[in-house]
Amino acid sequence: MFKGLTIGQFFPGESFIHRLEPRIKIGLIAAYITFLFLVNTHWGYLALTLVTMTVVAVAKIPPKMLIRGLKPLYFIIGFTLVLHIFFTKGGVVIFQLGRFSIESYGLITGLTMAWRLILLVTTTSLLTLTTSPIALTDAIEGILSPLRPIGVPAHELAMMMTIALRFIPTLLEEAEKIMKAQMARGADFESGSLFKRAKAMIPLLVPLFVGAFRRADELALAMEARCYQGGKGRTRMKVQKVKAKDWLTLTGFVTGMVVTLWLGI
Amino acid sequence: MPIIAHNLQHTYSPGTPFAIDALRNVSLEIKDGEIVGLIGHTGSGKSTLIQHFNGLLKPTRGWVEVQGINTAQKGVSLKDLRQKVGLVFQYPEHQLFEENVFLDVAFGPKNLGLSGDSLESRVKKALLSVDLDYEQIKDRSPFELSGGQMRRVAIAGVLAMEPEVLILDEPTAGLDPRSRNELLRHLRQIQRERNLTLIIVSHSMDEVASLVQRIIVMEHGTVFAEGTPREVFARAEELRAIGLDVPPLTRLMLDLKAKGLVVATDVLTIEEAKFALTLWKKGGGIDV
Amino acid sequence: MALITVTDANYRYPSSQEGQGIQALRDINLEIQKGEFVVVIGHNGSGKSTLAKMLNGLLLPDTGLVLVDGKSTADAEHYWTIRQQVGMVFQNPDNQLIATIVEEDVAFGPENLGVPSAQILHRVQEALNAVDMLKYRRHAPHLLSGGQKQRVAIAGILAMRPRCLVLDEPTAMLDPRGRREVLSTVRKLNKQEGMTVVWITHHMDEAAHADRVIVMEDGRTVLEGTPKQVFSQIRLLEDLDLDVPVVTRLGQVLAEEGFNLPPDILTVEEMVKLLCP
Repeated sequence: MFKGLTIGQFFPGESFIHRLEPRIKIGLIAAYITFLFLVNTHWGYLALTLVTMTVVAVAKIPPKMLIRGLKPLYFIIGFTLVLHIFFTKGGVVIFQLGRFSIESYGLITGLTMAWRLILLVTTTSLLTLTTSPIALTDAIEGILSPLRPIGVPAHELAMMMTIALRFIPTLLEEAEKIMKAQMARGADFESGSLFKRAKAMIPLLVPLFVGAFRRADELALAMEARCYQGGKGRTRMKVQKVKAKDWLTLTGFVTGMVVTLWLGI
Repeated sequence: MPIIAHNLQHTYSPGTPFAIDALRNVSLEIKDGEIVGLIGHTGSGKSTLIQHFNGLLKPTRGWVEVQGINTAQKGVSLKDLRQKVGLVFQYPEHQLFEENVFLDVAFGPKNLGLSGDSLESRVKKALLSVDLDYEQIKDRSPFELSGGQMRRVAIAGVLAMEPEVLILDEPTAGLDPRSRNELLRHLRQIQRERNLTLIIVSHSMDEVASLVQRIIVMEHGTVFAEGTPREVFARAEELRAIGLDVPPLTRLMLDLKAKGLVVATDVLTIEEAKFALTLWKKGGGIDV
Repeated sequence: MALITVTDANYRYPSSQEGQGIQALRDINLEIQKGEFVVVIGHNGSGKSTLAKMLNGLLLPDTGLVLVDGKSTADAEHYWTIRQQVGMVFQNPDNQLIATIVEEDVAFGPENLGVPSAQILHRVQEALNAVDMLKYRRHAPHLLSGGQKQRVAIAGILAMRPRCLVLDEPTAMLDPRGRREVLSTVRKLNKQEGMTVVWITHHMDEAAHADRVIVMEDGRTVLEGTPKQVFSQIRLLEDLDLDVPVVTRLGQVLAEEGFNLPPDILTVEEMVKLLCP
């Protein structure tokens, strides 16, 4: 049942966006988020929105997928909107009832902040949608490697992330199996006080953890059998090389944003 | 009273692009005290089917009745249902979690409200049924036991709920021949002692043939064949076409028949094969 | 020279680990020749898995010696060479795959060996092709069937270009379809590529086409020979609580009734041919 879900879902493709170097993409996202919080003119937001829409079009991501990705955030977006509408004052009064008022500034700020959230989530998810999990962890390893001399275990961190991502669906499946087995013995995971339900998790968590440790043991043996010796001397099948087009894209974007900001201010 | 499924359909993730029809229009009846073998490939729907019998899954369409009670009815007591229909999943030892064997086996009956002396006697009885020494094992951690022992403790955990129907999903998976034969022997005994309705899910015809009275073959979410082992194996060609195999002896007789020999083909044991072949030889078969 | 030689090997599990001080191997002597398909049969606890781990140095014998291509597994210098030459596939298909995409998992071995990047892709394709999984190269492992996962695991070993493949109960957790897939894949590798294979199992029917069968019990090898030689020893196998192929037994029963049948029939096909030439 959980088979259709993947955390950090990857939408394979061969577009320009997909083929951008992952470290550059991480850099682009970092730049985008920075600009998103610096911008405060409508032109600025418009520019960023256009950028996002262009990326979505080029990468051929189905918009439905992005909208579905926003589902968990409906509450926060709605909350932000409502908060600003009712409590941010300024500008023209739109509605008045005694001491209670809704003013234009509040409405605009609310909408803008909500939109900012939407852009933030959508654009960040574009990173995981267009970059395979292993490419991402490789990129993170690549970015962290220069820090190795000061004790940052870049390779080990990347390996841990890869393995974790690989096993998330498997562990979810196992959790479901264990839950059903315990339910077949009369366990109740749904009703009762918070305390009762927390206690009811023990028959689920203990076997899950025991199973996970057993897996780790077996996996370690299998990795050893495949000559895993840590990060030393390892090569990679897919080498991440930053090419001219990657640098151009990054500088192009940053320049464009700086100009927009400057024009706006 | 029996288990009845009527026009049962089950779809996973209905209405999404991931929708899967695991069961399509399944109708069957399992009578009290029957020993039934449920055979099929991975993906045939057998695991989905058995989860309907104890209410873990509700039908997308159609209905399932257990002892006269509709499992999807509003207000139906799932606890009662799960006490009546005990379900042992594949690799049941993966669900053990308590500090010691006693507490783990007691988990089920405790959920049913038992305690004190009656709880203790239930646990004792269950462990005895799977041939484990109560005094020796009750205080040990389930995680220190051998694989075979762990599995028996897990099965005892379900038996301790004193079900009337016992369903086991691939009970011999991963066991070596010795442990497998022992387990099947225990199951036969347990069924007799407690007069249970027994449903064994397997993908090995061979294994269940000697144990069960009736076989139900599942394929692509429907009942493909049903009947006594002999009746089902008689359709060996059809079974082979869907990738399932009949026991070697049956296959032998069918292959011989295909080559023109006049022999009985509904053979399940070596004795029967010997009898059938000696008869053929006496009847003027080739001088072998 | 044999590819792998085991001489007077003994092994006892330390009492702190699982196995709790059990003597798993006693005075084991055997040889694996190049290109052979050897099946090791025994119960859980017979020592067969322990023996498997001896063959590529994952475990070292307490006494005795294991030589792979003349090199001792106890020699730290040859540690990694031996594991590259003798690859191992384990029982649980899931707990061998570490990457989120098939082709990246198969690349894991060569990457560990420091194979140049350009060559790795080629090796991965070759390996996936050999196990008939090339079209699944971009799939996520958790969506594959058990048999498919095991084949990917095998590809992961093949990509390291080993000389011998040791498989420790590779079909124990698979359904009949998966079992067939894996067995035929490995048999093909043995017949067509000359890959030496050591296949550990408790399913007798998987031994029918082996070159040699070794039966283990209580840490010792108790029977060794061709499948026919081993399977015809019905009484001994029954005493060991092992499955005898039912056709073998039928053959012997019919022989007692006057049929002119040999005592070592292994398969249904064979018996059909004998009864109906």
